[in-house]
Amino acid sequence: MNKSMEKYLIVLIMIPLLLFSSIFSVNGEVPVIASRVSKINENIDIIISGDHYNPNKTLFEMSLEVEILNRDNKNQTVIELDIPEYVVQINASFVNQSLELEQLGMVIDEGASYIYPSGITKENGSILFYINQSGLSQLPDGNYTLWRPINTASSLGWVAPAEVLLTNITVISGVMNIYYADFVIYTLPELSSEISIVLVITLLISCAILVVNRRRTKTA
Amino acid sequence: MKKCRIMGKILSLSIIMLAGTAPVLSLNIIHEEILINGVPGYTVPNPSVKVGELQDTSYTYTGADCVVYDYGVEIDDYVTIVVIDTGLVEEDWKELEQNSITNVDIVGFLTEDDESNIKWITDPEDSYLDDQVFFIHGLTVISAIAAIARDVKVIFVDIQMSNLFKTDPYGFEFDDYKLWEWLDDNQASKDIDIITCSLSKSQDFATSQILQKWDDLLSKDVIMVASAGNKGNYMNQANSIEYKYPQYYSHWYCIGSIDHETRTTGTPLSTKNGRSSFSSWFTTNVSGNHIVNWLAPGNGIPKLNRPIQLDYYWRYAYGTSLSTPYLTAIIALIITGYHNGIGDSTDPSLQKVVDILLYASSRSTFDQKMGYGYVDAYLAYGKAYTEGTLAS
Repeated sequence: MNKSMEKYLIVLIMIPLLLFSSIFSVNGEVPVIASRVSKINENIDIIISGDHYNPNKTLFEMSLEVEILNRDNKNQTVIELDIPEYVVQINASFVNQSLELEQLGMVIDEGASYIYPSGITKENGSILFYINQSGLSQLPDGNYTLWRPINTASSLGWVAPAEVLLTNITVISGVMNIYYADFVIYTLPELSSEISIVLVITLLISCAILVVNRRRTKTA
Repeated sequence: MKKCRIMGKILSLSIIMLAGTAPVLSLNIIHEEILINGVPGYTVPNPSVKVGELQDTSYTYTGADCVVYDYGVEIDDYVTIVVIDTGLVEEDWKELEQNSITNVDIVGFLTEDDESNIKWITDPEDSYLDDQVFFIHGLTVISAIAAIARDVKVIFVDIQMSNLFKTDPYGFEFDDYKLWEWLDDNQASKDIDIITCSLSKSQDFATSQILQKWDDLLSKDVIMVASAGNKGNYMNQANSIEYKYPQYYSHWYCIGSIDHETRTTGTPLSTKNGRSSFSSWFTTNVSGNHIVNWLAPGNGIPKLNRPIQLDYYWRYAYGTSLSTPYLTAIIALIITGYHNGIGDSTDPSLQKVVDILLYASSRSTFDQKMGYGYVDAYLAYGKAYTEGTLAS
């Protein structure tokens, strides 16, 4: 076997390693699951009766849409450490610093897991929260942040936080501006088991040819 | 010819190298099957032994198997547990009373009707139960109790719950005074000894009237226990969603999770004798009940699951939702042990129960994250029996 053949084999080994290095390292580095609040209904309801009504506070109901992005080509398991009544969380800092936001919700302290398909899954619903002043007719001035906490199982077997994007609302003089964070959307390249086998065999054969060739050269 | 020989050698080498990985692959598979025991999400193998004879490590860890299976201790007719949860449906109610491995006696279902009046249901076929929306967790909690506290009487309290997709309009709100008033008013007639809750609210719902009812229940020697939470961090932090009620209040004993075995596979992982990585704890920088009082196994605990096809089956689960009924069941054993020792149905005082729990705790000193550790069921039952005997 001549030198050019040997070079050819080295290139043969290098190409797949270079091409697929992203695949080999991707699981540990790229968040496969991501979440964001993708739509907020600007007509926010003020609730003035019912079980949750409190005359000393104003009760708001905000309708929204959540997106869960699975960047993988196959189903992914999302792990919830507990089961929250309202999965979207909100906090706020107000211009009037005496105001406080208090989100309603109940939690079941049992772990659970859910399967999400590849791509974007949309969830619709609402959240409820009080602001500690009665008779408000709109959201008070300030900055509001909404997010959908989400976890996946890490390769080490523990629950790892996934990518959580924040949606911000700014209210100035009663005017509401909403800033949605966008997903960086790309799907992980699919490495089927067939391709893997072909890849491994090619590498092994190439290595073996090189070893034999070296030995032959030495012997000669 | 020479080239063919070389190619042949290369192919043989490749085959040998590939074949060399085969035993490793098969070993991994066997390894996985062995370690599947106890892994949350997996079916409990051989449940008649694991649960029926309490031979699962989650039970042998505390000696619950010795008390319940070896000594055959069943809860007597004078212990009643109130389970506060999101719902229970007809099939689950019947299954919990008739499961071939272990069962309980559900004496009633407490809720409120459309006009906010108290509704007490004793028939699992009552049509009200048809409208339950959230009910899986009720089955989980009661089955975790049933595994240890066999034949115990259970009163189910229905709490409202909603999420982004579904709304369950039935049941009480936590801040409904009627609920606490009913429990207090009926404590004696229903012989209520323990109230257990594996839920929490993020708002403080305890009005002064409700606090008064909790005080009344404590004065009647009712012990109230609630789950610490699964966030794996501290709670009751100012300006955080992690506020938890009723756990915030010192009327309630707060239960975290301990790992009863070491597992290196599955989620969550488990390290024997360590606080479960998800088990929450409290800071000291706020008023109220800022401690976790005890831990109980909660990482890989058998619970009854609704059937996928035909039959209910046992599956491992995790969370302080499982730890809390576990300790609840041990408390039921303590009260029964006291009854057996004293020879009648006289209940131990709340302080006596707490003293027995402390006596049987794995830690003699308090730890902010682990409380007094886990309670040894064997020690606790023996101590309760002795205390009963001494009091007779």
